[in-house]
Amino acid sequence: MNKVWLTIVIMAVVTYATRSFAFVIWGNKQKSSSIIEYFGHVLPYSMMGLLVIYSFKNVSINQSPFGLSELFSSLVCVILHLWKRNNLISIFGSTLVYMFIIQVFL
Amino acid sequence: MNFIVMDSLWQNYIKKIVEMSMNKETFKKALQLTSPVFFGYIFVAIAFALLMKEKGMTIWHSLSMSIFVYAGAMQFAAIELIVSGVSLIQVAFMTLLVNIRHIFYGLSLMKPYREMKHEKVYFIHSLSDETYSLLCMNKEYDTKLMLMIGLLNQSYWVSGTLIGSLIGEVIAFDTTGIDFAMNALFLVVFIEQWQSSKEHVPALVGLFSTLLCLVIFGKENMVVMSMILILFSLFVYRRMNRGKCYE
Repeated sequence: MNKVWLTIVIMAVVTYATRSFAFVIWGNKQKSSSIIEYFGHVLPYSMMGLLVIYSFKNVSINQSPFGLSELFSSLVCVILHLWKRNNLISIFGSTLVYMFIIQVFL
Repeated sequence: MNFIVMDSLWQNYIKKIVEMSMNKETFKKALQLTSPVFFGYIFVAIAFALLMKEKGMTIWHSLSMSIFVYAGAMQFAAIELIVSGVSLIQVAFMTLLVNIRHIFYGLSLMKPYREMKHEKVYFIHSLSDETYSLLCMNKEYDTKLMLMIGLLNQSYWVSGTLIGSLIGEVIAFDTTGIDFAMNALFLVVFIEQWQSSKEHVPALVGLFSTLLCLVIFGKENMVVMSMILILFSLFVYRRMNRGKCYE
């Protein structure tokens, strides 16, 4: 069972290393170079696109219901958000819709 | 070993955290901002703890993972890795592969990082996808609020792990699908960012690069490949001079 603990230690170290990487390399200079500033500015937008897709990576579009429950709930989320502009309403509303769909219909 | 330094560091930490909690305004605001994460984290962490228990791991394994690793997707992957008995090298490699996206979170958080002292050690640790997303929504936050958001998010994650380890089976209602809250959170932050900027190319680059890599490389290798594609595309975009407005 010692191997489980070693696994946890390795995961913790590697995860912390990835999280601190940018800070260690660029964090101690007083001013970042312009390319780093550029990436620091645009990457949040790209990363959020990545996270949106990444969070749906387990959806299978080849078999029934072809990802339709996720698509529909996402649409609910987007519409709710454009309408009410309230994070809580959009997130809870669409999650409830999703839970209802997959628990009742599927 | 310099225990005195360690000791004062530790005390500093406790002091800092107490100070933050004493600041009611900051605490209330962080509580409000993190509430969507609360439900997602609690139930996903319960699911994680239950799965760990099912595979024969103890509460101490689950808790230390949620405290010291604190990476949702990776913790679930870890269960598979442990059960299938892969080598430790492979564990390190897998962790790097899945968490490589975190490398770039720091680039957008240099300013608060430079303002922080010892607490930056925890700030780095607290940067999960969800914490990063909340911090991205508004860059005007002060460092105390940023730390509090991270601390609260992790406390939800650890609480869920604890609940799952202790009383998991007792949960009365069916929570299947509650993890959609995380998908919804990313969607909401995406929309907020979309509307806060006139420039939509970076968002579209992220969306379509990742989609393309998911289709081509599959979900195991998508993160690394999309990061490369995103960096490359953004670099080219800047070269095309149109990215100039960001400088």
